[in-house]
Amino acid sequence: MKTRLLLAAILVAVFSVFVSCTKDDDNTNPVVENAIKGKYIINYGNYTGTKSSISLFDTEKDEMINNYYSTINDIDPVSNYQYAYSYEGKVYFMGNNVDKITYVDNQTFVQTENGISNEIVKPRCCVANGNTLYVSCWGGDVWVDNTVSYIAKVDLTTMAVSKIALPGGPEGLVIANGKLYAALNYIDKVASINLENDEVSLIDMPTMSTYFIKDKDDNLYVSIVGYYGEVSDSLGLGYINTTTDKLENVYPLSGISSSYGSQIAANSDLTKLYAVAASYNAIWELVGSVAEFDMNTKSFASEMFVEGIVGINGVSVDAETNNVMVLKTAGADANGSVSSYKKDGTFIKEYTVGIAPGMLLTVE
Amino acid sequence: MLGILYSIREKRKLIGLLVLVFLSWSNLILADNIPDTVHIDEIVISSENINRFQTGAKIVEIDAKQLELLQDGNLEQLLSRTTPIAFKTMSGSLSTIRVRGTSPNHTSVNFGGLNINSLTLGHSNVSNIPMYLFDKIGLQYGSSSAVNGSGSIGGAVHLGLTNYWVDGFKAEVRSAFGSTGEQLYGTKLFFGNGKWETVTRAYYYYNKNEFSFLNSSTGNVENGKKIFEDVQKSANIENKGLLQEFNYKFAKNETFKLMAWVEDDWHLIQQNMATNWDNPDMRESLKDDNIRLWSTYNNRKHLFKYHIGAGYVFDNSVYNNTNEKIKTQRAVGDAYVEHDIKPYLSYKIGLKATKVKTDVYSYNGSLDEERLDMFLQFRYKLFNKLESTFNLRQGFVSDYSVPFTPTLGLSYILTSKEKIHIKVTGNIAKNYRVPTFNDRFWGTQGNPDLFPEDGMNYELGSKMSFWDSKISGNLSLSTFYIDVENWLLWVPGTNDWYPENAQRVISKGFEWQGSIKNDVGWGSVNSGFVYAYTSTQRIKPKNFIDKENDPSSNAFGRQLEYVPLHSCKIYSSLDFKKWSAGFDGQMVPWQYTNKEEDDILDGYFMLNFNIQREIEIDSKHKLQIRALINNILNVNYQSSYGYAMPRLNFKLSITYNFN
Repeated sequence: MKTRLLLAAILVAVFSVFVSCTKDDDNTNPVVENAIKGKYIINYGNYTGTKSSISLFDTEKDEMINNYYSTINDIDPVSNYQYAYSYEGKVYFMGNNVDKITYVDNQTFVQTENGISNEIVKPRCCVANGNTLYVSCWGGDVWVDNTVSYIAKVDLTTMAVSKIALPGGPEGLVIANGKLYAALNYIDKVASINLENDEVSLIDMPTMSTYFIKDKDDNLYVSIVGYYGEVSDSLGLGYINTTTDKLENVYPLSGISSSYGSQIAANSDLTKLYAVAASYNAIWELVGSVAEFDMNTKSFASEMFVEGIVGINGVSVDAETNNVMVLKTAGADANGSVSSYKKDGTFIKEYTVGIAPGMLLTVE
Repeated sequence: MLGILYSIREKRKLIGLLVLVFLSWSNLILADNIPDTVHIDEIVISSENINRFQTGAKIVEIDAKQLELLQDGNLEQLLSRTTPIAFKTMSGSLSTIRVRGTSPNHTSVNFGGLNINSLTLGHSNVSNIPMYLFDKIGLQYGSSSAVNGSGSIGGAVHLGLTNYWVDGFKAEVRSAFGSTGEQLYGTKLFFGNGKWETVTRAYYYYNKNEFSFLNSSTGNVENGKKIFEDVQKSANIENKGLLQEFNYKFAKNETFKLMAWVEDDWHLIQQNMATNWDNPDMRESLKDDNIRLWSTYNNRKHLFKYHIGAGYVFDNSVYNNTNEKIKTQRAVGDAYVEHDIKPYLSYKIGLKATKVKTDVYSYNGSLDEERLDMFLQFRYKLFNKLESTFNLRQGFVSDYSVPFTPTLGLSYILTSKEKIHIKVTGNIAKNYRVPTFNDRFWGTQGNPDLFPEDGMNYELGSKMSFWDSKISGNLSLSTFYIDVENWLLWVPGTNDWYPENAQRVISKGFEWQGSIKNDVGWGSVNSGFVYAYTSTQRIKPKNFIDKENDPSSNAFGRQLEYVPLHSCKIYSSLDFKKWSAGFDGQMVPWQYTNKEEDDILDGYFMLNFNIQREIEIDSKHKLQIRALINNILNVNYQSSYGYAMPRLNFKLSITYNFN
């Protein structure tokens, strides 16, 4: 009997310890009294775990306020935001797990509606014209069947969605010279779409491409990144004349990044373009770098703007200061960081942000 | 500074605990009077005595009654309810095991002489291992690389079959139905003449996997409501399996056995709560086909006992009906000779050879690899009280260097009396894991020059067994310290993720468990508990360079993700005539899910209840009816961040036995 009583006492003791084993709620998110308009880091998050978060870059206080969306809306994002776009008083987020376009007021950052998921499958990027938001959508397993992809046209008044069929996996979008251009990720083409009648024509490319930068003449630089593991002299920046819809030139950049997010960015006066690339360092290790391209002379600088960056995930330019912001990931299970550099390449400061920062969005 | 103090405090705790293990029995040592006969803990899985040359290692066999209770489920559902082992799981379709804080790649899952872990991923989906096909589950805690080879850093699971040597015919038919849309149909057919036997085990399992849960990831902002009642959709599971044995007994100690296990498993990948809310019809499938063959010839009639084994494994995995092949094949052969030089001195010498062939879409062509392991094991007993084993193993992998792995184990019987048996055990083992094929050859990121993960395992334990006419039981305490260097992680690169020997992990703690069986006259009561404390932390590797604001250093010195610091299980059952009823409970505290502090899995306590009745129709025909009520408290919980798990659910099974 003593043994049984002893065992019973042990069990009670063990459970007494356990009932107190819950982690205290130590949420230390800052309380933001008044929303601050400005610059936001869009953190993609973990595809199967923690979803996106938004960091507010408060330039006045020179600090990064993480989990800004959650703090303002008292709810966490439920998707991974691939891209964000500010237009006509709203910021639109392209979330691709779950597939959803979420939007907030671009002044208060408050979300008042649940977003759009009908007819939106794997949204990637977007651009607006008039009352229409054009969204590149993979449409499903585009790597298996590249015909499933399309451009979704969202009526910004009714939020109704219609489609333009576009095989090939559209990624980056831009509107130039009255046409919508889509970089195609699974065929060697760039699509040019007539905004009046949605007719699609294709521009030949040496291999696949991802993102655009529009220059002062409304012509396009496009990142030509190649297929998985592809090594080619054709990789680099392509230049598309939007009047002729021809690829006029390719400025080679070996190792240009094929990752998604903000992989190329231009400064505010469209004189410099920055591109993420892999390069070999002095001991022949492949490391992340940012290459600088002069949009006037149409040539890459002989040396990398910055190099030797572990976990580089993107590059953006602060439109106000023209500082170059290098986005770095520490994996899908840890917060990343953003390093700022002056335009001469001098390091300024590093800020901790959320998981897998993908782009900097500036809201005017 | 706080980190250092914490570290010192942890070390003191551990040392204190180690001392406690020994001292707790010191009074018994002084009063001891060792009889000639000793209590032997033999764990025999599929005719292999897996602990004979592993003195000091913690090897246990899952209680037959618990295995019988959870026969309709999978390995995760069995072990998560009966052991302190942690799992990261989705509802019934995908589970990975974490023994003593190590990664899923650090536990080998063994069927006969085969480690069936995927050669590409390095681990097994333990949800695809059906308990219905097996008679025994052996579980080794801690490293056993010297015995089981690469990968057995945290533990090893042994899937066992019992030889009944049936004379005549006997059969079992079973069906089970669950409230989540679960159905299981199984049969076991035994036929033989006492000298040979054929055993066929087959099952079909389907689970619609629809269950209600509270969804907190709807993202709803329109009416102020944040949590909604939801139903999990598109997470169906359909698994089929056949296990065929043919066994022949030439003589009492001379046998031939052949086992063929074929699995055809399919499931829709469970979507997270947010997708389930917004897009409940989303379907992503995963299909796994596996063939595992193992045959052995054992001759233990003579002074030199020998064994020859041969096997074959085929694995094929198809994601969402794509043409992206992930196929691997391996042929395995092993042989050893065991010699008892004296009753107290034995040795075993042998080798194991493996030929691997891969056909994986992302590798640069088909890859071949040869592996050879040579091992030498000694066992020495002194005065029936002290037993030691010493194992040496050297592996060879084509174009790859593998460390030499020795292991030393000791056990000492403190007392062995008429009603009590106490022994203490200790074990020091070197361990390693060869990087997976994906680690070495995947696309452009795989790196053939990765180092093997390697480390040390230290273990100290004690076990007391007691019994008298009405009460019996045991109480054990095991402490461990595992240090793994060159722990492999996939880390982000410029274009893609790539594998790297990125971290060092130290896991330390203890497992305390006990069970008691009490004959109360009108029936019997079986009760038990398991408590585990597992402190598993990343340690800065020797070559780590501290960088200011480096987010990758966030989680050093902190508990690893999906490893609960505490774990506790209890169970109790009452047998009364042909009735049996019981409950089991598990307490799982909060867990980290990534290297940050925000995304925490809440802790929970789950309680399950079961009741069964045996009906003997006549001497040859028997029925067994069992009802399981799981998660009686209707707890809303997650095992994998963002993925729902079933709340209150039921299962009813009926088993018919002939002979």
